[in-house]
Amino acid sequence: MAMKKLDNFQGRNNKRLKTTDPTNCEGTAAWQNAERSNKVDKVNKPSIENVVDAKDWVDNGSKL
Amino acid sequence: MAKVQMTVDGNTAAAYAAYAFTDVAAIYPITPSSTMAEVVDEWAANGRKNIFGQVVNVVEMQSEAGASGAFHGSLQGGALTTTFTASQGLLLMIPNMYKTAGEQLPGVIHVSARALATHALSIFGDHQDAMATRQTGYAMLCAGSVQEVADLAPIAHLAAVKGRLPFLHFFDGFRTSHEVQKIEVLEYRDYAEMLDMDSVKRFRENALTPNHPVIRGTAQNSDIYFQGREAANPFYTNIIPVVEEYFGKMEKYTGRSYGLFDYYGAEDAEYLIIAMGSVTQAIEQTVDYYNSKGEKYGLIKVHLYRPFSTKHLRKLVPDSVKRIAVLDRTKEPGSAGEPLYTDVCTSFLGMENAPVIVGGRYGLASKDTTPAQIAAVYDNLKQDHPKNSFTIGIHDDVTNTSLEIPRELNVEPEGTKACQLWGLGSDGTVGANKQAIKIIGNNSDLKVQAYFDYDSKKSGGLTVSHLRFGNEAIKSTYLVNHADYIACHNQSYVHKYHLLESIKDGGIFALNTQWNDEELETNLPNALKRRIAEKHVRFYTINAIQIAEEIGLGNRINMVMQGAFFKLTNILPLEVAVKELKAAINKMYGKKGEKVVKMNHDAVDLGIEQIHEVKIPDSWRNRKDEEETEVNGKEPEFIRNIMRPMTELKGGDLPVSAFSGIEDGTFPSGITAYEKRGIAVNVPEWIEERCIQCNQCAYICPHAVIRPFLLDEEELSKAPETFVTKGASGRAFEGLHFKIQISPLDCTGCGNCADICPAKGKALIMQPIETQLEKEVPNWKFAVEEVSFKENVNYGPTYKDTQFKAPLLEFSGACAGCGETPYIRLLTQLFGERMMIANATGCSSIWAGSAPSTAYTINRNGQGPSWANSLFEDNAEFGYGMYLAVKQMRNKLEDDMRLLIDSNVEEKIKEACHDWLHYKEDGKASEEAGKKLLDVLDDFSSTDVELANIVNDIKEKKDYLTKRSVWLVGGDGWAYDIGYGGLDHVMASGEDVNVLVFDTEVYSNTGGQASKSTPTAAIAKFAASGKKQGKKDLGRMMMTYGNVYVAQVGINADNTQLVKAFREAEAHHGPSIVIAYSPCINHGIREGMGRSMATIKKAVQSGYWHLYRYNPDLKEEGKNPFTLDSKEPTESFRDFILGQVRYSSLAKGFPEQAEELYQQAEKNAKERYENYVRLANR
Repeated sequence: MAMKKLDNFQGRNNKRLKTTDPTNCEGTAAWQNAERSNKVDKVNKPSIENVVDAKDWVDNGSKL
Repeated sequence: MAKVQMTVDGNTAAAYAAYAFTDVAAIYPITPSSTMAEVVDEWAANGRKNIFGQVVNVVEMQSEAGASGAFHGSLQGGALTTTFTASQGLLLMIPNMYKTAGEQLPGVIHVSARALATHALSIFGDHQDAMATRQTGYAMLCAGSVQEVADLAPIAHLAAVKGRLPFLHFFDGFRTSHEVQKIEVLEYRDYAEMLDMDSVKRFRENALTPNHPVIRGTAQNSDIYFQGREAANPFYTNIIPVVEEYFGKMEKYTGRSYGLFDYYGAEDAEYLIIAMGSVTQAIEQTVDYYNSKGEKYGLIKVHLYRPFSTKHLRKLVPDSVKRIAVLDRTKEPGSAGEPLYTDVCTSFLGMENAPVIVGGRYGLASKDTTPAQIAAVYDNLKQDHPKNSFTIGIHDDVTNTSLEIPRELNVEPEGTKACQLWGLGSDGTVGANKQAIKIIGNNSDLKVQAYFDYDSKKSGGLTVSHLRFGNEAIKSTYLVNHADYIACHNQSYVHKYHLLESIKDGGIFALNTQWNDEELETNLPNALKRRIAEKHVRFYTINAIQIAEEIGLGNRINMVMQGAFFKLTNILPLEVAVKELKAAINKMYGKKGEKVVKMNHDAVDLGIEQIHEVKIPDSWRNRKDEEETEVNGKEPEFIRNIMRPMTELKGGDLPVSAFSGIEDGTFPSGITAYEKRGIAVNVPEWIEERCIQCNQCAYICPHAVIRPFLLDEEELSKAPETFVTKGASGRAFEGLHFKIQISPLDCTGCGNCADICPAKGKALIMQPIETQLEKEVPNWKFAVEEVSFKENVNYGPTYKDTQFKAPLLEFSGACAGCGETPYIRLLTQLFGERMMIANATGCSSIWAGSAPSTAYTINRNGQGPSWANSLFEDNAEFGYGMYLAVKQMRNKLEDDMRLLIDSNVEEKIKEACHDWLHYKEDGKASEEAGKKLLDVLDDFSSTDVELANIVNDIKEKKDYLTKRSVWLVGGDGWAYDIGYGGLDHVMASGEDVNVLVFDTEVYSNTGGQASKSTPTAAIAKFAASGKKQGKKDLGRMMMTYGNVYVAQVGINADNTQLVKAFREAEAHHGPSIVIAYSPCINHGIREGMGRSMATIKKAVQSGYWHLYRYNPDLKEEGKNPFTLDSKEPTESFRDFILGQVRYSSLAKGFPEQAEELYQQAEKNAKERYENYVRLANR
């Protein structure tokens, strides 16, 4: 399959552009664990343990 | 002699042995070797002693080149020295490898062997790096399993000392380095007993010393250099019996025997494979399987690769052997054969009735090598004309090297249980599985194996844990492909991944899901249902998220799933498993209090209690796949044929021909737009009546998922009903309608946009994603497809105006709340259509360019940043090279135009040339002048051949008419450390290149090692008790050149200053460097990454970070070039740093040092500020 010079897509004909199914939900990620959230904007605020867990993952777990 | 049992990975096993024999370790981190140095550093920090009664001195250098220099020097200074590296790092050590071998120094390099960056970078394992050093004069030992690492690593040290030659000890990156197994090691006193202390004494006496000085490293000419090289020959002959002697001693101590080569298989084998590394384990398994069925297969495992003893090899090959296949885990393009193959051929040269020898390649970049592939190798040997230079594991339909794999094969011993657990990075799955392995290993006689397969996303991201348990040694050095148990801890995966591809008939599938049995019917894809029915899978579900929430654990599901795992797999008696799990919980969480311990205990109990079997309807067997959604025209070929399979983990099935036309590694831009991963739990909802249209939300968004749009009446008339807008405010936008639109499936849910929204009552509120999808997915589609950029609007210079242009970096793989991406996203909005980016290896190259996900994209004219990653250390030079090429082409254009001006062409052509020459160094103006020139040349014709050629040349080089904006981009690891030399040289050149440094103050991508940008008191790897040295002031160093534009910026701290700095940097006709403060998950921001942008503001307000611009162009106006943009700090420095775990944990871990270091850190920051004030007041 040769790639043409103009073969850049601009996101056209994207079969997932209309979809509403998440495929990689990170609901169980340490940083998403909402211990509390701001009352007004409801931005997630993790507990300190989760902050440490999230840090531990990038420092030791993911290992890239 | 005592044996110690431990359940560890290969890296830890190597480090354990290395520590014993090491005085000094000079290192530099690189995946997958970094753990070796990190554990050595940790042990040293905790006071562990080596066999000489000393703590190892671990020193992190600025690069592997630096580490090897220090390694060499330390050896010459009389210290037994070790280093750990892989891949590109090993290549950088090559010059010093020649030196240390030539000088006969007993250093040891432990290598977790990894692929080399060629058409692409890969962190995964093969032997390309080790093989690239085989000519250096190092002795080379190869280990094929975690146990072999534990046994051979000490032999490398012992033999190096006695034999006076340095050793390279290597093992497969990831497959061995990261595989966890239960192994035996010796105690340090046993190593001490084995060590030849006379040789140690001789080494130390030979060290450089002024007390009896000598000269080393002379320059030699053709009279004696050659003889000097040959004089060392006896050492290479003598090292062989030395290694054999230590193999013998190791056998005496451990009961395990090793030879330079080891034979396995039928004594009367006819068909033989010769190989080294982890594949030998899988070959042993395959040999056992086939020999039990009457075949005569054999294997020779290579341990001592250099010196290569042809005599020992030939002696080991049974006389019955007719044919030999040599497997190389490397590639040497253009050669007659790969290295091990050519060594084996040489061994049989001139021998009568020599066997037929063929060679093949396997396993590059950890490509899985299975028994079925190995069987194909033996099958090939049986052919009349066995294929040579074959490949296995891929389908090569271009040069047809691949062997056909006839059938799937399961050769694992009876009774081995194999499990696959699909999780998400940081959800606890991997940690829990590592714990499970230890529990099972320590409470049974079972052999255990754990291997973890990740994608490249730094946080979040797919993890698949491959676990095996069995009565016999586990030699399956490949991913689980016949699973008794598969668990999926993330229900969204059912839509994307082929979860049950490896399930055995009658196997168990456990799904963590919020769907009840009825909802499973609606929500599970038909392909999955069909697979469950066809394979008679026992299907279980559990709502671990709900259980965890109800207990009070939030989203921490790992203990719930652990309970379910032990219940369903029955690997240990349940009561034993529960007892051990709870004991592990006590140990892990005891310090956090009884409540936390009880919650986790309850999680285990409820996991066991509530795991529930689903009755499989008969109808599932016949389910057909859902029809593809209708798309207006099909997806682009590249997306359909390469991107989708890769993202669904089917990339391994792609044939070689899929890459024809892009053999050079080229990938198209803008692929991330096709992903739509749906990461977020909550996404922002726009409340239009409260919005003040400041565009700050879009300005700071790390992933470019929230954007302002301006619509005219016609566009609005076509908008979906739910596409709410308001009248655009500002004179320039009169008559237009304003909308903040979000892409919910691209959003990571970090919440920064909502957090920084200044509107009263907030115009952005985080809402559960399910409530937003139905309206915002079509709204986003409308906005990006149907709403145009309003060219005719008179945009102002403010940061607000910058956001109306579509960003040309979107939906990257960066972590939620990443502090790097907003800066470069903004840059693409300012200059993207004429940008060239040279990107250093690091987080920024991974989030931007992990195939197939390319995050830089193009505008509707097809223009956007070109982007390339070369290496880590050379990024400045690489980008500079790009600049030089462009400059040369443009100089030719200039020459062409001057010739036209001096010729008799029409006035309008001369005028257009004059214009271009005048504006050529201005981005926008050169574009317009270029267009004008091409217009007037469009119908040019002349009989004057020379003139015609000049015009043709201009047309051919039209791509160069617009001034390019060249940016050298990377993190502090590159700019402050490994790439500093190159960066400095490029800055010194005076040329018009721009540098953007993402300053995370640590090596983010490789796991948090300290850089010279890490400030005092911060904890990082190799600064485990807090960094003592201060942070390098890179900006001030660059100012000393006088002609370099320097800025230090912080998005959200001063948005106007940031835009000014970027524009001034780009406009400056000379070198520019912008240093951007970039919060990172590694910092452990206590408020969470949803406040990463707020953190930048606080950093400036507390005097931790300072904003300034040094603009040399102001000198010409007689002004002070230095402007201090940040004000006197008003917030507490101490409060700021204690708001981050990287600082606050110092008080816990090293309380006696913490206060002093905190004070020093504050003093350093104050001093910096005062320096800047002085510069500003000159």
